[in-house]
Amino acid sequence: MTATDTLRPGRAAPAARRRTTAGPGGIRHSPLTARRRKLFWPLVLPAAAVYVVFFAGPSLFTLWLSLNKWAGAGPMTFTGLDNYRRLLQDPTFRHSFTNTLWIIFGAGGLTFLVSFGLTMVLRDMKGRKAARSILFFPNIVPSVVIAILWGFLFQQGGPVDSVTKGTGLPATNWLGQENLFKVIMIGLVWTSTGFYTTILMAAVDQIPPELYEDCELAGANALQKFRHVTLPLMWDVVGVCAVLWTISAVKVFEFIYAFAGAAGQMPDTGVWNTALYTYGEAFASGGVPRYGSAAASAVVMLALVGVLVVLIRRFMRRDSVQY
Amino acid sequence: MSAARQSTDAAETGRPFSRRAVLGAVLATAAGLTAACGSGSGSGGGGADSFTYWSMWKQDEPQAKVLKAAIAQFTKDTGIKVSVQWKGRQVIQQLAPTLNTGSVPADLVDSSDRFAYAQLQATGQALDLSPVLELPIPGETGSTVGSVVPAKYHSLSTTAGTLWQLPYEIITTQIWYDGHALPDVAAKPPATWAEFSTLLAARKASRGDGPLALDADVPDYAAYWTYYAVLRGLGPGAFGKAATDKSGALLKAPGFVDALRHVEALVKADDFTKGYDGSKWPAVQQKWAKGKSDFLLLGTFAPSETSTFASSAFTYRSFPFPALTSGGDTSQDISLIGFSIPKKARHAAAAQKFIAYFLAKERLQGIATQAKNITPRADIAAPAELADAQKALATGNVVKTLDGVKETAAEWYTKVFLPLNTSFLTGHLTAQSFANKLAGNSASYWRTAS
Repeated sequence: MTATDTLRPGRAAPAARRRTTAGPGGIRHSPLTARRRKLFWPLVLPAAAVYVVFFAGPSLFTLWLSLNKWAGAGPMTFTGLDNYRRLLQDPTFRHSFTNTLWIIFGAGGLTFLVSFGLTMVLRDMKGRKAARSILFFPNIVPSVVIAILWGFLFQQGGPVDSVTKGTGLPATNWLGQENLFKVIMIGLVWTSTGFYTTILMAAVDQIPPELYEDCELAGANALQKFRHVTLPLMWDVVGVCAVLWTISAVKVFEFIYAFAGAAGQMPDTGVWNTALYTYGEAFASGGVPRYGSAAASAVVMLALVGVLVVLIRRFMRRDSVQY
Repeated sequence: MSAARQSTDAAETGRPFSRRAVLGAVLATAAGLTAACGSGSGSGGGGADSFTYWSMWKQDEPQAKVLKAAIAQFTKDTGIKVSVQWKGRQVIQQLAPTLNTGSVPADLVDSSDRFAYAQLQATGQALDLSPVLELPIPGETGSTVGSVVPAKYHSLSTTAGTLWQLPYEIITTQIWYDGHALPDVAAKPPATWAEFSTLLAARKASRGDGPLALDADVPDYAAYWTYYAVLRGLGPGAFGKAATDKSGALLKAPGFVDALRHVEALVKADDFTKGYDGSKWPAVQQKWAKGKSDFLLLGTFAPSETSTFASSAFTYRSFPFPALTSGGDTSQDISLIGFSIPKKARHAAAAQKFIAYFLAKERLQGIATQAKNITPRADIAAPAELADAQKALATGNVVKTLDGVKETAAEWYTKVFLPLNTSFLTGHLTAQSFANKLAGNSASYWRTAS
């Protein structure tokens, strides 16, 4: 029996059938199956315990916490769905939620658009491995560092401001309250594009070059090649990337906090997303912590991820192309 | 049933373990984890002749060095061992999850007053330190804690009769300037708004840019302009009262709007330096230290935060936010840094002894000489750069900074006040429209707040 067979009990059945023993209930098991079953719980239990204690347990506690009012110490008061009602009524949460959607769809859309564009350009480019490394670089540098750098790039009198003024473009207060979130979106696109371009390029590398040669013989331009060859053949990878982006976009925190926050303070509420809202409710506003409200916000984030991932999987589902 | 027999039974029935065995294993795992958690949360403080101190400072900070020296001497003098952990600014937040357990790991903790209030006092987890006021100061005949820490300070950290923090460092807000570059201001600082306005106009004409420095990306820094204008216009407590007015009406009352108009005038006159509304902290305050602007409204931490950028001739001087009219309010806002003791601390008595010990002049003066801050003791001279601020504290009335709204109405302050205030200070709202929006949003907020 091979290792693969060990992982797939169903395949062991013919072999097991040849050497069977009768159990008390009349069911016949091979000694190997019985031994394997004996080992099932000892092997599963430690992992299951870790999963329950460190993941399922805290998640369920968060759900329970969202139904209570609690300051992190002292008594906990059950308030039912009150925290969720407050979230819906809180303009700051509604704005934070909208910002989160902007990050998922706005920054995400732009990230994928640029990544597709770079994929098309890089496919035929000389030195594309070097270019890919350079594009991936922002993903290696901690986003806190990039966020701080981003702040100094865009502040008044900074390099971006100087270039804008130097080229005669209208002066823009990039770090002003009215533009701050837009700059954050640009920053998120910039830091994420390299990552997704790299994944998409790895998928493109698997596409047989003769398909592109066929396209060239047929006189297809770059866009047609992308539409009729590249995109269909990397569709599954695009789907995985979309799921990855959705999950990471909902959790975006440190870039906004480090870029727009200062002197140990939370940034202006105009740039909060749900992750910052959750943090602010629990820890950062300086007043009595609202763990219940923070937990409710976290549950909403989890639900948002769940719904979006299901929708993306449904939307992206199609028969994969074999090649 | 023996383990061997149990195993055989399981094999015979086709199940690797009986339900009882699985349940036993789960309980054993849970018990093991509980035991592990329990053993990890011990105080480590030892017996009654020791205590554990969690500090808001990192160990290389000047305050930590002063405290370290005092702790070493305390152990030498009293035999009480101190287990100290330099946790940093999030110390109270780190302590909070343990406060509901039976073994709170810290017997003594220090922090900013608003964090001590939020996490200890408001949750009923702060030990009342009133008895500490009666403790004698070791080495000072006739002195008690209550006699060296003025009531005007410790009364600000007393709520419903519970003294939840004893301060050892005082922070206040002043308008800072370079006494060397502006000797005329040093000789006669502006005392009224009219004098201040005249000075600003002269300085603006002289340098061709607004003389006021403000890092408006820090919402608190912009808030101080508004708060002080309201404090000067309507007196102590008015801002806090308006903040918690459920109807929001007080926020657009004529007096409140009049106070706001003083700030509006500064914005409209371009009295704030170029780029103040689009810079990344600490760019503007650093430029101020380099002489790019003249006046900076900030806490007494301003000199230590900017000194590395100031020229060697820079002389730190400060004056209070001017009274709006002659004889008007001149109160100084203050926030405190001090010691608290969790209610469930196991070695509270030893921790209390240390508080009294540290407040002795001999120990506490390190906070002024080494850490360059103001202490609550009037007989400890502040460092030269903070001398003006200490004088203002000694001679004037003191009020809780922002009327304590960061403690009592923190959510309102963060979600309702700050975003609108930043818009106001950066010129996107007039005084009247700011007041109207603030009143409307406050009324909506209080309708749903719980």
